[in-house]
Parts: sequence; structure tokens; C-alpha cells
Amino acid sequence: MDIQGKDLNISVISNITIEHFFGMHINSLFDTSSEINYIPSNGCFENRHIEVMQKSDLILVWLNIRKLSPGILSNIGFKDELQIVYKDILEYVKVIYLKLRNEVNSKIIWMGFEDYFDFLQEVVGNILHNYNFIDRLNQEIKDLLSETSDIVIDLKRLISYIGTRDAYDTKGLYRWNSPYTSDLIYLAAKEIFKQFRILKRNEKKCIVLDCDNVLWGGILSEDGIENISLASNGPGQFFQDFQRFLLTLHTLGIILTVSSKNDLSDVLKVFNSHSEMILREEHIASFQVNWNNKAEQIQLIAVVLNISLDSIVFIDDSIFEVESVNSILPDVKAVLFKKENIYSSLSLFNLSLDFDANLIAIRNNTYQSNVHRTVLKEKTASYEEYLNALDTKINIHIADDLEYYRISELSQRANKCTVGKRYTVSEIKEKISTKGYKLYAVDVSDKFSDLGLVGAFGVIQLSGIYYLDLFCLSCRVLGRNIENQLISYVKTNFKDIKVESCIRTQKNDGLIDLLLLHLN
Amino acid sequence: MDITFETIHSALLEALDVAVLPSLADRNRDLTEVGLDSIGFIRFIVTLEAELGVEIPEEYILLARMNTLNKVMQVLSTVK
Repeated sequence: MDIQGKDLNISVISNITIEHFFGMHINSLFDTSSEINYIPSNGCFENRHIEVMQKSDLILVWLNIRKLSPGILSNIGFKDELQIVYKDILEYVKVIYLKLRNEVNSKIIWMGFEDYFDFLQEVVGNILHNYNFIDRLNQEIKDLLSETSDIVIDLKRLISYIGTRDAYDTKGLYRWNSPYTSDLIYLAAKEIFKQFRILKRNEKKCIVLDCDNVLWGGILSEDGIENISLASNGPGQFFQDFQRFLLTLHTLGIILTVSSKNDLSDVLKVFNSHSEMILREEHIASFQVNWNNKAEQIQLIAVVLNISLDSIVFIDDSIFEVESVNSILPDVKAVLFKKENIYSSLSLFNLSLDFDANLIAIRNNTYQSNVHRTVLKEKTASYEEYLNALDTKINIHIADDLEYYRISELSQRANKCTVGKRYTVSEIKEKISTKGYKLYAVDVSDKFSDLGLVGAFGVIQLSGIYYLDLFCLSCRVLGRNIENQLISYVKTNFKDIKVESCIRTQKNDGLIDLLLLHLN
Repeated sequence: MDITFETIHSALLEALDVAVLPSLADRNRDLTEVGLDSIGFIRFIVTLEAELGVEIPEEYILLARMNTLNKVMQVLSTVK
């Protein structure tokens, strides 16, 4: 999949051979011909390798602990010796990582260590030994990489998916230094694909949930609140666990909404009064509970929350509802709820654990207060009157470094109101360090809530001429005349500014045309 | 599975990740001329062993010893 409109460039630093399968699997997953550079870990900092790495979108570091320390398993019981090996390996990892971080801006993905190749359990049994060496090491590496938002892949978990018998290639290890099978390397490539999608941000923002037999077992209108299946044990536990999972998604920034053919008062009673409910009314940004068809309910949710239909995932246990939404609203991803595979169906979400809880709280609050805005809009006579009644305040200021993450996120998420440029935090820092470049953050608030940082633009001055580089605005504030006010601000403060270049995303034509009309 | 030139050819296609190959009517043609490099050679051996259910002895696993269809057939005939 050509996510960013260009082929992927990956550098792999390793002390084992994976290239006979890795490239093939990466290309099949990304559906493109990626450029993959294999760099031996010994000597990876030669100038020629650094130049290659600097052009990479991703850097994968995959070091095999057996190759780093062949005698690691012979240290059984010798705690002091093991501690020395531990420190040596950690020091080696730190040197490589910090030097890499110093030389390149690309995202670094580190493959964690694993020790399932250990045959000792055949004679001593499956007991913990070696002072939990590998797990402690992985945790320290994870802590080191977290400081700069890089990640460690849990290789032990990948091996566990297929089992050690299918993960290891003993012949390959001794023939050509390739300890892993094609199946395991495929899982690693799949994980790189997942992490790349997470890096490029999640395209799906909202889940529309059916209630009966999705959030609880049974039919509320028929069985009554006291008989629905929802409990901390027994069959109702599945629904409680699913609600917990949804609550985690909510914490990670996914908007939860409800679309149900029921009476609203009954559904709200469950959310507010049922002692076994995990999700509460406050977690749901919009309830569309009535006897209208689901497509209408979903369309209303999109309008109320001001989000596009293709950012919505609809979950329902009725094949009829799923098929009808598929047919009427093809942009919505409709998922048939089945207990046996609902979690894997939701793998279409690509979420980062590196999130800002405060920002997400503000965002969730904004979506909920959008419902109040809709009520106000219905009460006011004209749209202009409505905008005035909102009492919107816009604050434009030079972005500080604490705001780079949010701006990066915004540049990746915005689809409609964007010049199409998507920057990682590293790329933003690189821009800022360019002479003549200024990055502005845009905060918006109104009488209902503080919407926080919802927009950004970057301007560079070259030979006395201003060029607009970045311009992005959250869809949460679209349709409130804010884009026009921003363009007006840019036009007034940067005389004769020109739009440097735009990348059309099939959804941003309106904004690009507006910018070209006013700024060029 | 029987060892035939078709089986070897099919493993070669998989190893090189291509749908078609230049003519290999000349079974003494050097396979490196059609794109078999050291990494493709690893895939070729892994595929052959999996397809045929055989294990090629270490001493033969050198590109120079298996770089034509005839040489590959000769090696496989000795291990079957």
C-alpha cells in the first residue's frame, strides 16, 4: 500500500540474514516496490551507510542476542557474570541507538530480543531462569527508545503466534546465519507495516456501536434492563470485556457513538443505571437511538460530530444492518459483530500508545459539545447568527516545541483542510531549524469548550518572498469560517505570500482552490 | 514430489519472485545471468527443500555448485 504517495525506503541494520524473505513480504504487504537497504550492524556507521539511512522512511534494527553473546546460555547460575554480559549488551544497544538518533531523523523500530531458542528447558523444565535477563533488557531498551517516541517490537510475542517449531530455521541458522523461518519474518514484516500505518496516523476516528447483542447480550426492548446479559462472570462477561476494550480505544482517542433501534430513555437508563456497564453516557459522543434506519442515524452522527463518513466504523450484529449500511453508505466501514473475531476485525484501527491524554480529553469534550452546538444552530435564525452566538476565539502564535507532536498529528490526520503535507515530529523539527521558517499554532475556543490546538501553518521566507508550506486545520472546526479567517490572517501578515506546493488528497481540492485564489 | 526440470524451474520462479524467466532451454545456462544472486539462491534452496521434502547436504550449497539447471538436477539426484 502506497500510503504516502511514494515508495517506501527502509534501512535494516542487523547481525542476521533476513533479506531472502523480508523484502518479498514487505513488498506484498505494502503493495509497492520498496527500497530496502540491508546494513550489517558491524560497521553500520560508515559514511556510505549513514547517507543511505538518512534517506530512509524507517530504520529497523534487528539484533540477534545469540550473535551478540554466543555464550549467553552458559552463564546459568553465575549472576555476576550474567550481569556483566547484561551491561555490555545494553551499552552496545545504547551506543548504536544514540548514534543512530544523532545521525538520522527517521523513525527507528527496534526488534526486541528473544531467548526462546534456549534448549535448556528440555533438561531443566520450563522454569524462569537467567534472572529474567531478556525481559529486563527489552524493558530497558523500550524505556530508552520511548524518550524519543521510537518503538520496540515484542519479538517474543511474534514467535508465540506461530510457536517455536515454526519460527526457527535451524538449518538456515548454520547455513547462512538466518535463524528465522519465512513465516516468522512475515510476521515481523506485518508488524513493520502496522507500525508504519500507526506512524502515518489512524484514518478511522469514530466507532458507531449497535447496542443489543453488541454492548450487552439480549434485546433491551424485549428482555428488559434486568434481563440483559452483562456481568463480571458467565456469558455476560464477554460484553463487559468488549466494553473495556472500547473504553481503552476511547482513552486512545477514538470517538464512541451509539446507533440503536430502541427508545432513547431505555438505552440511557442502561448506560446510567446498570451496575455492570463499563461504558457510561459520558463516554459516548452522540446517541442516535430511535426507530430510523441505521444509515440515517450514522449520517446524523457524522453531521453532529462534523466528521467524514470514511472515518467511521460501524459495528452491528445484524447482517441486514451491515449490508444496508454497506450499500447506502459505502464510505463507512461496516463490521459484522461476531464474538469469535470482533477484536481482529478492529485491527483496522492503527493507534499509538504514545498519546497525550490531555489533548484527547479536550478532543472528546469537543465532540460532545458539538451536540450542544447543533442544538444552538437549530435555535438560531441564520448561520451568521449562529457563528456569532458561538463566540469563537482564535489564538494564533508561534508554535512551541511542546506543540510539535500535536501539529504532527494534525498534519497526518487532516484530510479536508490541508495542503496535503504530512510531517513527523522529526520533520517538523527539521523545518523549524531551516533559516527563515516559522511555524504557527492555532488555538480555538468557543462558549461551549476549549477546542485546543486545532490548526497550524508554516511559512518560509526565501529571498524576501514568503511561501506557505504547511497549512492544516482539524475537521472539528470546519464550517465555522475559521479557515477563511486564517487565510485572511496569513494574507495580511505575510505580504504577497505564495502557496509553495500542495499535495491533493482527493478531499482537499476545496481548500487548495481557496488558497490559490487568495494567496497566489 | 518427483524431481523434474519443471519443479526446479517453478522453485526458481518463486525464489526470484517473478512470473516468467528468460529462456532456460539451455540447461547449462548460468542462472546468475537470469537474476539468481546470493539472496535469491537462499530462497531457491529453501523452496526446493520444502517442495521436494529433501535436505541438500551442506557441501553442495554453494551458488557455484548449483548455478545451472543441469547442476541442480545432478545435486538433487544424489540426495533423493
